[in-house]
Amino acid sequence: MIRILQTSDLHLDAVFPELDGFAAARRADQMETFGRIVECAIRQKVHLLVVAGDLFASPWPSDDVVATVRNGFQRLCDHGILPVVLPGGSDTSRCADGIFDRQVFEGTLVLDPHGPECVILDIEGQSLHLCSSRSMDGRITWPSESSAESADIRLGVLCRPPSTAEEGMSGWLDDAPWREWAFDYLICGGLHHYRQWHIDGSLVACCSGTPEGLAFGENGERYCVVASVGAEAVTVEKVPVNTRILKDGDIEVQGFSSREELVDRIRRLGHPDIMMRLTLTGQPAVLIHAPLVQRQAADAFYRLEIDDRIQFMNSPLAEEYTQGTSVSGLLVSKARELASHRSEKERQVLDRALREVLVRCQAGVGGSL
Amino acid sequence: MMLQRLELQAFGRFRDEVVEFAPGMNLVSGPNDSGKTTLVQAVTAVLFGAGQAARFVPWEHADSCSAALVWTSNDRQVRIERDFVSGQVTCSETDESGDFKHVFRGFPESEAPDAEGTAYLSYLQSLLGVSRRDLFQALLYGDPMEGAGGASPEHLKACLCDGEAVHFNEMLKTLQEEYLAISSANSWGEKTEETSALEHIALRLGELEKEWFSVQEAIRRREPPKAGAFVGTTSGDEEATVGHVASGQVSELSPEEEKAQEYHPVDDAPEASAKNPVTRRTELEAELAKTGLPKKIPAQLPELLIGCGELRQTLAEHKRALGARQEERRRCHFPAWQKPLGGLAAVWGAAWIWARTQSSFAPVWGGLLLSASVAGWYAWGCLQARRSGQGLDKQIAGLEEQIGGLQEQLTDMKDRFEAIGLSPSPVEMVRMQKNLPRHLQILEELEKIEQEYPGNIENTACTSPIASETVTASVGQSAVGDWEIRAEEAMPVDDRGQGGNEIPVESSSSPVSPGLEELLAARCRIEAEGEVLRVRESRLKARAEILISACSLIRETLDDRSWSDCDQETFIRLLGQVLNDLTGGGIEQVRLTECFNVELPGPDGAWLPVERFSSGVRTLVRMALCLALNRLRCEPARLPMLLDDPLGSFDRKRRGLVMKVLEECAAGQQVILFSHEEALRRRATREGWHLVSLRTAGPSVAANNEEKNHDDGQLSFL
Repeated sequence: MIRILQTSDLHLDAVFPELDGFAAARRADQMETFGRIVECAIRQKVHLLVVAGDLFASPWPSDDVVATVRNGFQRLCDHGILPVVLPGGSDTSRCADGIFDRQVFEGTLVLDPHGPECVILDIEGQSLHLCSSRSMDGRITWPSESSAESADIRLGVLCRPPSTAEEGMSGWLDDAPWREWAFDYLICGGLHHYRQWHIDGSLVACCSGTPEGLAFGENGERYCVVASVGAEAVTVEKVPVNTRILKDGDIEVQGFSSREELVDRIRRLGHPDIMMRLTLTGQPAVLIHAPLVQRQAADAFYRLEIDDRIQFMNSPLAEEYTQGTSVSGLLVSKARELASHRSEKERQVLDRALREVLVRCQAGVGGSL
Repeated sequence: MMLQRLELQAFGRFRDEVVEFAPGMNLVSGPNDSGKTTLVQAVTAVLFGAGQAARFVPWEHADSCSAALVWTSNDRQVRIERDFVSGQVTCSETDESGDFKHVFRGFPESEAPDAEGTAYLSYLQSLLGVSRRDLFQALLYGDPMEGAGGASPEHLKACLCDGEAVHFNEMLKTLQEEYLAISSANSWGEKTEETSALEHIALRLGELEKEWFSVQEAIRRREPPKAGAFVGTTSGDEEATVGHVASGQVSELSPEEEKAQEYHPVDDAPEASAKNPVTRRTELEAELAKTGLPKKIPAQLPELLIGCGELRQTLAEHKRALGARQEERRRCHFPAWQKPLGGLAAVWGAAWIWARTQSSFAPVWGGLLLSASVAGWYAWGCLQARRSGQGLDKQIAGLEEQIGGLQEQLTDMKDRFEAIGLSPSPVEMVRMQKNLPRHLQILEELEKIEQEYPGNIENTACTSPIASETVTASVGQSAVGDWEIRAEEAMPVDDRGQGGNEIPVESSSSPVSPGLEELLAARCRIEAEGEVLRVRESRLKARAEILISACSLIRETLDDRSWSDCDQETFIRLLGQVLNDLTGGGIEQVRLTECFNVELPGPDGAWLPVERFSSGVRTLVRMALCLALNRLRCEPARLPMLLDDPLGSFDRKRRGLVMKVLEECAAGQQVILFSHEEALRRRATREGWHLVSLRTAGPSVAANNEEKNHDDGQLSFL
């Protein structure tokens, strides 16, 4: 039985341009997660740590990140664990200047990123045929390997399963010549979510997903996978390793009678480790300016982003405004008139602009928020 | 809203003064330099702060200077106090029991309002209906010293709309400022000298683009040749099996190809000697890794490589010979029988024709003779073909046997390679063989450097690169046991079976010099910064879109409102009335242009801007604007009118008219005049106005106002 800790798509040293000033903190989170994976591999006493693609976000990660990863791999080697890295689409350079071309990871088995490769390992007397490949135009090609004996274990590392794998899980393996490949277990990378594939009730392949969510949508707990691969059966165990929890949520603003009430409600969703994207929808009963709400509730979260999809212009509140003869009322009427000639996206912009003006008006002289 | 009291503590020339005012007409009288203007300024200074507060702080009491205003409206009293030294403002209001309670205390900044400033100005707006110093001074308050310029069209427009509109106008300015900070492209034609955020980003992106191209060019120049460094040739026709994994075979290489396969170091050895030994050592280590050979060359390796090379060459030659023989053998067969047969038929046909014309045996003999010749020739051909085939078969068998032997030897060689810890592919063997001399040379150089600079070498020992295909490791202390790696296959499957395809074998294994690494890191940084800037740019654009949308919305709404709801007609009517009253029917008509400029009819009846008239007319128009706006905008608060020396430049007739208008105003609101004129003082006494007398010097001027009012009354009576 060979024990493998598999992970993929760490994308270390990602730029996170959309996080701007917060990007450095997220990069630090990634490194913390990587450290946790290394500790997990040592604690679980695995034979191999397999990174099935995209260890780094680019072929040229920063020196600090490379040094940390090298130290991590060195620790694994010191504990008799072989780090195996299959470069992925993000960290493979077409030129000879990428991180894996510089051969900086001593003692690490870096599989060929450009084509199929087969490596035979001897682990406690058990022959392990480790074959790597990647999907090209929906086609997977494995190296032809004729020397495997029946007692040997054949392990596939696939960087990017076909796109159909993302959609229907069972489909692509049914179509694939699985029996021809004759793998005992297939480690998949490139999909950012945890996936398992079974054939005839037996687990045949698994993708661990990103161990640290990179963008919203990669929410909740994130895992690395400890796989025990024998000639007869394969078992996998998910181990949570993420540093932060990404979360999506939405709140219907209609029921809130004050902005403070809404802020309280949002704050109750908060946690110091939660990075949340909250969508505000519906027709408000009070004026709500999303950036202001975000500012007031942000300290309850690791990071809070508010997606403002409130529809004020068609709300009863806007109708109330138009009843009066005040400038605010005229403003709302004017906005509604303009909105009738605009596209959906422009209407959304106008709605936000209108709410901002009215909230600034409420705030007092000069409209400073 | 009535100004009941002005309290001054060490304010300007006043030490401890309380000036009381009354409803209706008030006159603050005193000679020049008695502090009239200071009192006028104190009102604005208390409400909105003083731009240069120091001018009010007396030099002998530099640590204290404050003033307070007490306003009254119905039963409500509001006290606003400002400390001009600390900047603190305290607002208090009377409760039901008549006690003052604080409603605001803070340090508001009126010029650039922060949160406190905003709260305070909002309070003023709710109290007085105005929260801007300039509007307060120029339009509503008639403060001629501070608002000497009078009503600007913009202020006039703002005042003609309701308070909310004024507020929106202010907000429009704020939003436009925010927008201009992001983008200088605006539809209202404002130009800023400062570079906007988007322009900053565009400039930076331009710089980054240039940097990127220069770095890219530098990288291109520094990078060693990629595809030509080591090239193997696969031949599907001559594919052979090496070990137990199928692989492309290296064919015999031409001298040019062999030359191309040799490793070309980036730096020449003679130059290297002049370099820093540490740098040189790093470079040599890098070159060493490029050769594809283990750092320590096992003793058997050169012999193995040479032997293996020779073997492969021989094998290739044999295979080529075998191919040629097999082709020859394929072509070697018995002559075709159809042609001789045809020849025989032709001979016997000719003999038959001959026999019909000549009755003798001569044709028969001739036919037989020719037939025998043809048959003999055919038999000879068959014999030769058989002999040749047999010879070729022998040769082929011999070659096949030799090839088998050579392959066996190659297998032995492979075992011997494995015995020394190496499992090179055929391509790698060729590369190792070609680079062996250079490798040995580098090792020699390294040894020399180590001997010369042992300390440096120890300190700068760098990691020996390990090729992924040839990793061999054994960890004795492993908790899970030893493991061994034998990499055996690196050839893409798709490239197999396609004879003659050249593929880069080692294009990605060339190490990078430190300079190149720096360049790569720089390129990475540039790309990351560019990515961040692009996102920031798109966010700013989205924000600018909202701001421009908000600005347009406000502007369009206010534009619509200006002409429909601003009660412009009422204002023009009021202004006309006031001017008519002030001039005794001299000016009856007035109009506002679309830009809110005031125009009066000229001598020929044409409308002229007010600036074209005399200073007396201009002063009257300013006063008229003030009175008209006060009537229009200050309902129901009706702020007091403070007029400093309102009759200074008028003749007797016009003074009478002005005073009449002011007295009419005083019926509905508080009017406070500041003047040094004795005639006005006498009129005040006569008419029973509230009189405040100021002296040029002395401790107090207003403390005995009541007494003075009484005395003045007596004097007037006498």
